[in-house]
Amino acid sequence: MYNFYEPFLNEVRKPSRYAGGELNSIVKDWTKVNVRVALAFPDLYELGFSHLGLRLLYHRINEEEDFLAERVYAPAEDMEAKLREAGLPLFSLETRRSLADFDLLGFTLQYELSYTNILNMMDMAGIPLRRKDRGEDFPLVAGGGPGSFNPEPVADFFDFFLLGDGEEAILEILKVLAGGKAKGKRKAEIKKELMTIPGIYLPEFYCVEYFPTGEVAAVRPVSGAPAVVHKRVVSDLNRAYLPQKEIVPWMETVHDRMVLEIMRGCTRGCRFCQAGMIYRPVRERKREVIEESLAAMLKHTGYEEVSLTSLSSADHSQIQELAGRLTARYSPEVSISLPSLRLDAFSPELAAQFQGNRKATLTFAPEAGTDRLRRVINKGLTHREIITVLGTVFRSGWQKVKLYFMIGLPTETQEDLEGLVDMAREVLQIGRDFHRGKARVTISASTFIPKPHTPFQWRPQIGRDEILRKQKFLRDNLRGRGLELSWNQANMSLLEGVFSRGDRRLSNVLEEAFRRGCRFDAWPDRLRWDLWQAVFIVSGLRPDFYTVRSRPQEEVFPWSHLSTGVSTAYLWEENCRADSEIPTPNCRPPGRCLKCGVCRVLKVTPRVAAGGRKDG
Amino acid sequence: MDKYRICYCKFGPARYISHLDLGRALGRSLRRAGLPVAYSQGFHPLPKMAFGPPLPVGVESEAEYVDVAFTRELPEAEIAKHLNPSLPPGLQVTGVERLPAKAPALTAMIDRLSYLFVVEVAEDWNRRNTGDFLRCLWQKKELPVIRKRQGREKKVDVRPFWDGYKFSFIEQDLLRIEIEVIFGPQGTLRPDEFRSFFPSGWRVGKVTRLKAWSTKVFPCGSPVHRR
Repeated sequence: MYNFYEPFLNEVRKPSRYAGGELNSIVKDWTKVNVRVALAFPDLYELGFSHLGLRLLYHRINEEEDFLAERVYAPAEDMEAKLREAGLPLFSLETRRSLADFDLLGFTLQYELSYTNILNMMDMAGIPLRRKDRGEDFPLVAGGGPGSFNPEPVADFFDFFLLGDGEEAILEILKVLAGGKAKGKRKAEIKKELMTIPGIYLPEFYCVEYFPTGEVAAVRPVSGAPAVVHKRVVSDLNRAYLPQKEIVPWMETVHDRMVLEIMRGCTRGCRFCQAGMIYRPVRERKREVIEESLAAMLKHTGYEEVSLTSLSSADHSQIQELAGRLTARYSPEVSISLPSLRLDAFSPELAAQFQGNRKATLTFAPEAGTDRLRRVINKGLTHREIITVLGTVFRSGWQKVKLYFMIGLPTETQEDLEGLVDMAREVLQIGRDFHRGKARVTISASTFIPKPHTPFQWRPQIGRDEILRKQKFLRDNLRGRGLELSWNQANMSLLEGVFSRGDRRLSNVLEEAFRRGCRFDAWPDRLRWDLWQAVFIVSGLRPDFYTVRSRPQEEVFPWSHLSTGVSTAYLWEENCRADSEIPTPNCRPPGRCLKCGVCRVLKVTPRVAAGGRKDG
Repeated sequence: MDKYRICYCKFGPARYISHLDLGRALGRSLRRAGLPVAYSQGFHPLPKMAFGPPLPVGVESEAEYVDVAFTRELPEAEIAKHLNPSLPPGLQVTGVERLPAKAPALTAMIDRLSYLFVVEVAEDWNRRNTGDFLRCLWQKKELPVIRKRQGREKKVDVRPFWDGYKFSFIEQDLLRIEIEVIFGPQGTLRPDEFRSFFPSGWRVGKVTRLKAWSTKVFPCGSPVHRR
């Protein structure tokens, strides 16, 4: 343990962010392992700690005798200043080594607005930012998570990305690294071997050509790289690794509870939703596996709350049974919760079991203000259904509801915004019928950002003026007692839009923004739009090109060579069905395969716990 | 319901846990230990615990106290035996004592604390000039510090809370200073405030709370460290 960091810990805010030594954290002897991995989350500890994927990889790697994994999070401003002033490198929590000392430095790409933090973390460890400037002595830098499905804006900073599920692929990667180290291979040789692992994308082996107007003309693989990289899928979650002795943090984290993933993938097919597309097909964990893991996890952590997480937990085929059994076994000392509830899967019994009798806020996501717009985005919910469910909610005793909406969805008109306002007011009125002045309706209206690999990847994002105009309309019309409105900063949405569908040319913008001091761009009080604006002007790249431009069907996307398994033809058809307001059904029931391509291309089948498999 | 007073120490990485986070960490440890903790009623049941004087973040301690209620009587040794393996690194139970029904709260009882500072000093500091310096500090009528509360700065005189000191040299350049402070509803002297009076060249290596005790006499209730 390097103790020269100790004095800093006494001088910074919330030192337990950096102290390490949490219960169940694993400190290994560096001399007794072959490959050392630093797992990095490019945001503050209290945010990053809750991230399931990194926790899973951390324990999976440390299970192996020959490997070790340590953690690192983005340092807050005060810690960064102290370390830079003292000339000390950014360090891992477990053994306080510089990130530069590891063999592999892996970042999770959870949101685009964390990209400047990635550069900062590398820089603080003295690691050259660009791949081409890193010699043999520096770690390989890897990325994973949803961002790796279009990592092009950060492609020049990384050695490779893993597309899709990581719990199996990580060991294959580390075995290649171990073998390479043992034989004293150079990075170039090791990369050639990594190329043979399915799901690994090495951007240096792809040459991107642009039209003079800026669009991608072609992405050409070189040196025998595959033309298309397909994501990795863990076919059976019941047999997949699930850590049971999870780390318990010292400090209160954002989601300060135990998290158990009960299902991966979602069958609903909402057209705006990237997660719904990139995590296909649906794979449920069986009730028995969930119960057994839960018991072990609680024993080792002592948590007082467990969240049964997934993209749509109420859709799990055994959720009712699970709810009953878990509540009977653990209530009231341990409360069981679901991350959010679907309106059409809501029942007061289910909600009561999961929220206890704590009549806290219930959250729903109607997403859009009118039936028409909900048909466009394939959120198959009618106004009447929403109102009926919320009536039940208020009647059952809840006084506060939160409703998630998006503004700027494709084809949105003034009528849809008015629909949103009317719905909010109607819901409040129902709440008042039951609870008088105690009823509260919180409206969250975030700006829609088209994401890669979704049916809306061809669509324009709305521009700043339109965002501001729509936000003003909502502010003006959603005033008054019992109503609360929240929205995103327009600049933040634009920046996210740029990097979400961005290309490799943006690496210069990112690097320059970082050099000028941009950090924590996802934090409203930290985003320096003035700096970003200046950088864009100097770069000659226009944010509008990435955000408000409508793409033609034949557009070659910066991510066209990366595949989730869902076919482009399917996405385009879904995009067209949106215009015609044609619903696409849930593909969960047996025999209802919609031929999106994922099962055929990746040779997997959906797995539903109750009622056996579906036909693929 | 049976109340127990648990004495524990806090060191290593655990010294960075805030007082607020400590309650959660201990609650979870008691669950892991499978001990029959009593919970508060209501929608959000919490383990029934009451802590002694809060320990500043970054300070180690050899004398922390917490009163915990269990649903039934347990042998004192059993509690320590089960709790110790369940505690996170840096927390360790050093004693358990069953409390009579009407034992006063720890914060009402404890009115003295002692802290140890281990300080690296330059070679020109010796017994004599260190003694002079500390005596000079002790003889001051007032020791003002600035406290921030809710964004507002307030000047506070901490001299009344300083109750005594002693010092010795561990090595030629390593100084050991022990102070006693008063703790109570009127206030206290915090270790970071005390060290702010040190000469600028002194480098404080470690701060430890050594003892917590009561100068009052109670008809019943467990005395914490008697002097």
